Amino acid sequence: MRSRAPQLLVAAVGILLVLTAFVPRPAPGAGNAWQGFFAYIDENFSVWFNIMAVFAFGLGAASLLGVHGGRVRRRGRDWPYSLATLLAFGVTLLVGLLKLGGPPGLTGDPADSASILGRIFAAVVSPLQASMFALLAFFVASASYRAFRVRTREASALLAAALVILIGRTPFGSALTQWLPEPLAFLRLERLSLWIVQVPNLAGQRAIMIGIALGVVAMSLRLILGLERGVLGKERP
Amino acid sequence: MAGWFEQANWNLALFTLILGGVLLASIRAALRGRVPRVRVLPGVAAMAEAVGRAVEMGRPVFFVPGTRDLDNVQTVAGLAVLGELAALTARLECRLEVLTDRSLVMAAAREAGRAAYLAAGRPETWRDDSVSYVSDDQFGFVARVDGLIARERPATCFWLGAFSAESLLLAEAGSQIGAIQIAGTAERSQLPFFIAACDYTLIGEELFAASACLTGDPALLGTLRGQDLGKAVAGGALLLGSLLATAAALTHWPFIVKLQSALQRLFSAGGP
Amino acid sequence: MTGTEHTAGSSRRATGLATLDRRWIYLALAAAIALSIVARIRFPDTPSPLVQAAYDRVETLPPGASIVMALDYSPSSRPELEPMAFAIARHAMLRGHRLILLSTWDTGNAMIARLCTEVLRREFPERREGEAWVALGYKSGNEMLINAIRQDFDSMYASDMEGRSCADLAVLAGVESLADCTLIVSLSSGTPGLKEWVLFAGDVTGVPVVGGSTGVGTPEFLPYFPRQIRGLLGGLKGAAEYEAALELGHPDFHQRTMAATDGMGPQAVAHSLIVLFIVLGNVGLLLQRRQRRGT
Repeated sequence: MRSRAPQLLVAAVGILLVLTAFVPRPAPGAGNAWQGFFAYIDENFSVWFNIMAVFAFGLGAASLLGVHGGRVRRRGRDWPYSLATLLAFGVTLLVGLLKLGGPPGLTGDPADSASILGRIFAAVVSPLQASMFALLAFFVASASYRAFRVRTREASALLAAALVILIGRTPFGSALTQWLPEPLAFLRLERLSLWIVQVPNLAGQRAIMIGIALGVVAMSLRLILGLERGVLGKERP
Repeated sequence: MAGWFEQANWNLALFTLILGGVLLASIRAALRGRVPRVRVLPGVAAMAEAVGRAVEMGRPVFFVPGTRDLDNVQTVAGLAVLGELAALTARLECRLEVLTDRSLVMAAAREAGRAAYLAAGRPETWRDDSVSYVSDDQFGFVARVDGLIARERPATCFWLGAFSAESLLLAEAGSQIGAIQIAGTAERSQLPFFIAACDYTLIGEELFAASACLTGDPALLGTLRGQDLGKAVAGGALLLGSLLATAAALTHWPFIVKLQSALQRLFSAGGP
Repeated sequence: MTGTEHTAGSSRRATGLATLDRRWIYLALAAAIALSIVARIRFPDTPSPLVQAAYDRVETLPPGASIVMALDYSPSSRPELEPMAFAIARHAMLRGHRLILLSTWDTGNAMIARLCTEVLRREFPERREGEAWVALGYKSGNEMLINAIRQDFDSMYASDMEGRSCADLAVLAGVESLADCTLIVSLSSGTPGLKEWVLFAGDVTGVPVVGGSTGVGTPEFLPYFPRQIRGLLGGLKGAAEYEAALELGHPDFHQRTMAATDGMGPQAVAHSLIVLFIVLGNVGLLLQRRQRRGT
């Protein structure tokens, strides 16, 4: 029964949500009970999910405190990093909950730009996020250097396409092949790069997209039917 | 009927019924013994070997079930694979570290792991803290995972689920320490990054097929045949549409033009 | 130098080229980008058909048209997406449209606040808040927020970010739901984002959607163009092209900042450097192969 109840719940919610796509949406204040029921489900199930996620956040916080608190207590490896994590967590939580420096009261925005939380966001979170994202440029460079090699015929085609797109997306690309006469203008790098993106790439993208869509439907059906083991902590045969 | 059924979506309803019917029939056929033969997915075939390598090296296996919440079907697909991998790490006595960026995913991953260890006959070796929550923040999560990779030097990294820009940041960190990396995602924009930085990549639908291939469960394998039939229908419609569009453009015959626009309407969002 | 030493030397060089330490790549890239930023390298850009379609969509709307602009991104992708938001907001203000700003991301409020301060209040003081534009801000719910405001804005937005009642705002007169808007602009770097705006808003209501995405995310949206997404800005280049289109279309208007056009110089240099490294890696590989054949 322990795994049966969640399974039944998954099946019921899954079927109801699929049905919402096929029930007419009533105008506000209008419609019959059937329409009202499905409109209610459509609008509110995600809110319920958010409410559950908020409660689950407690679990996440407990895990974070457990992992890092334990390491600090034991003076385990790299414990100062854990201490920094705990301090950052505590301070941010406190200034956010108490709405320090910002508009007070229940309706006051905790992330108001004048609040300490708002300033933490602007001065710490924002630049840190941007820095992490900027790492991508370096990692793209090193991954491209390793991946684009003329090892096989397919890899060579990939390399050629990558080079055309990389150069074609820069002003140098346009300048390099601008001399080509009009009948051969389709060979200009910027046009070639656009062609690769919009024709062969698009064809591949569409094929993958269709496969994914069918995969999502099949996976959803497996969940609704309870065929997928393990996800709900279901016992195995 | 008008108040009960959204008539503008009748084509969507039709396709849902057809696809659902085909999938159910395929499952039924598989359960009656007509199990489809599935080609070997290199990424799935390499999973056991990758865990074995971790055992030989005495290093942990890292698993990240994507960076989305439990309402994303890719996360669920990642967790389904985790269930099978956890059974393997339990049997081989290999250390498993699951890192999540959503509390609900952490809770679900713990359930999946615990059940797998129980099924493998080693419930006493399961530790809840081998599944940990890091941060909801995308790059906060990356910072922690990359740091852990650099310090713990896992032998194998699994990246299976929905990923965004963090895909390459994670996979490059694994590549830098020489870990075997197996990735899988249905996020098309992230596939090139995983392909460039990982040893094996499950592309799109292969992620959803992975748990079926790992378990060999006939019912799950049956859904794969259903998917393939769906793809055949989609391919046929594409071919027919292209032929009709070409013929309509070349001949302008009213019958062909009408047929082509009818087919196009049949596949249009918001109803024909 | 003996023949053996020469062979060993060239073998080392070939191996070195093919297996360059990634830290050299990082260093070269950092130096090249820093130098091109300092040197303020700038290249002129011309709008591609995808960007021109987006520009034309805003340009041809009748004055007073209501545009919903969703800023679904965070500080990490701000450098790519904010120039798009700035350019489109400027364009909308120049054309006399009404702008409704909101976000499905919790980081969206900070992004909207920057747009209001840097562009709307500073550059268009005559177009007053509440009359020409409104910042509704972030609400939780992801896709379901889009679902809800497709029915009516009131259910999710009783007031704007400043706490003013939405019922009193002239900018929202006659705009009760997404279906009453003339255009949806979604600038996003993830989920929920452009795809969700297309699936849950554009496709259902029939309101045209124009989008902007990070460079890496753009190929994912190409299948939706031109039927479901009417114009698409891809990454920094897309933003630079929109700035160029605005410059061409409104030559009398001076864009106070053109961050995308400024950023394209360093990006072009970085692309070229990556190409150089790829070529070097392949040269090393070919040399290694030749030597192996020779031995």
